[in-house]
Amino acid sequence: MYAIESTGKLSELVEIMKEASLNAFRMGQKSISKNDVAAALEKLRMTFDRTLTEAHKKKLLEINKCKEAREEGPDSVLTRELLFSLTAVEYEDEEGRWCEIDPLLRPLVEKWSQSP
Amino acid sequence: MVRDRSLVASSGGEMESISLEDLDEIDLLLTELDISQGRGNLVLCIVASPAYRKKVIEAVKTRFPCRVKAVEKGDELISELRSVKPNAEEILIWTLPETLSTDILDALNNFRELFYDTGVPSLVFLTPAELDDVIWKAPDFWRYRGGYHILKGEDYGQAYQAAEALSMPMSFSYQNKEELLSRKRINECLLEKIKNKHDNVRILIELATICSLLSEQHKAIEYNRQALAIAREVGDKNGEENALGNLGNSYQFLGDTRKAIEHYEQALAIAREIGDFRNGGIWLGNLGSAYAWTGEIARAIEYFEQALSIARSIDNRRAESANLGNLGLAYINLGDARKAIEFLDQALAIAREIGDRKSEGDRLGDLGIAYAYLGNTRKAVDYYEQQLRITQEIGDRRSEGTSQWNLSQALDQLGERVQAIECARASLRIREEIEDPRTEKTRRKLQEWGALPQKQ
Repeated sequence: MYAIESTGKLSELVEIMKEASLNAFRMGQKSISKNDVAAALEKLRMTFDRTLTEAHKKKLLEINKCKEAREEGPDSVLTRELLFSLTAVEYEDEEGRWCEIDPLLRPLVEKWSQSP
Repeated sequence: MVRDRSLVASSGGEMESISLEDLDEIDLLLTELDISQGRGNLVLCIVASPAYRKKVIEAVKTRFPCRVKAVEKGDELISELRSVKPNAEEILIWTLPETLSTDILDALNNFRELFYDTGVPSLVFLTPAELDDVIWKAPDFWRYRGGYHILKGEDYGQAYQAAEALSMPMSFSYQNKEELLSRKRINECLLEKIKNKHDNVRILIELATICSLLSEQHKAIEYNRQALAIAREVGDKNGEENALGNLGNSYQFLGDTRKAIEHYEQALAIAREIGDFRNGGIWLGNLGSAYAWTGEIARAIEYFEQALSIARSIDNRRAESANLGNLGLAYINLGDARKAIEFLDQALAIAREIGDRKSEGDRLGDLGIAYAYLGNTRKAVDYYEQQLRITQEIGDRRSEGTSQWNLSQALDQLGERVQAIECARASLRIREEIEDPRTEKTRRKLQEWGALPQKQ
């Protein structure tokens, strides 16, 4: 589940594990607890929530809805920024390609939708 | 390997200058540096003010041998990374210019492996605004990081005065809380009776302003959103501008600086379009406040100076005082308390001259901070007490909470713990009530003093 929540990309899962294990080590635990992982995910979620602009959020909502990520126009870098930062992710399976927001950000969708 | 003691505790007296709220995160940072000693690692530390960054660096230095590298350009960063030959136990500390140019961002992004190649941990300091830039413009560097540690920063509790420059639809000043509450009732009543949409925008904005002054930010946001929708519907540019700017203020109070900046920028664009100098100056000042919170102090100072110059040109004394006060706070954040006091004294004089009690209280509080920074704690207490009296008279709950908090910190430094606890408790009551983002910090201090039960 955590592997999926951290985009499904292995390097991102490792990042989360690093963060969680550091926390567990500091607290003198012998193993990583679910709380450590949840805290690492929440910290990253909050960091993205703070740094995403309204335009980014709008675009992410759009991607979440139509599973596609296209730029608004030739000068727009919005979608590229989202894909490079992995706040939006492109997936592929035998049925083809589709885009989705980083699963980490799903709990924020409702909050963003209500934003003015 | 299980750690049995806190690295913070073993780092000695330097930790006293670190904000209480940051101690856990600093301990985590030191732990990370400790376990990666002698190996390449890329640790990010996010702090807003250069003065606070200096304190964090001092704290790291008491624990590890460090080499501090201040780089200004991308190629300089690359050549330093290639040529530096640190000893195995050393930590490399990197500081970057306040605004990250494209060449630095490209260097970070494309040469990120070099941080690991040095064979020792690198600690890179970024401001919150630089972190945004890194995430969007150097995404590979961001993903290549080890840990990242976001610090809350200095414990002043004082805000840059976005509130000071609240866009007030009428020439709005008030003497006490009762007057504010009575105006609130009148406006609520008017809102029910009046059907003209232009009037409704004006009433909603005044209601929002009052709620914001009473520290009821969620209500203020709701009123401003309603005002914004109606203003857009009827093409009332002035109303649209004020609602947007006031939304910015409320978001800033709730700690959502990015959202605040977006709303101020929209308000500023309309002010420029319709030639509204008075409010345009206010939004510039508030943008300065917001940027100061993200750690872009030099950019903030530029905005404050522009806003100050507009305030003087149109003889808006209240805004002049607010921007002088903000410049003062910015210089405190740069660690230049003497320059700060010069600005704050001018600001206070103007506030008294025009009888603006809120500004007077806020400036007194800022002066307290500046003197506390210079180590003159008794004088700081004196200023905080003057500020407290005014905030209570005019019902300014947010500043009252701040002033009680600052008093508690100063009194504790003077060894007067009992009084310090009393003030911190008063601050906590207010902050809980108004949902101040600093509530948790206040609670934790009281817990540390054993004056509040530990959280379960």
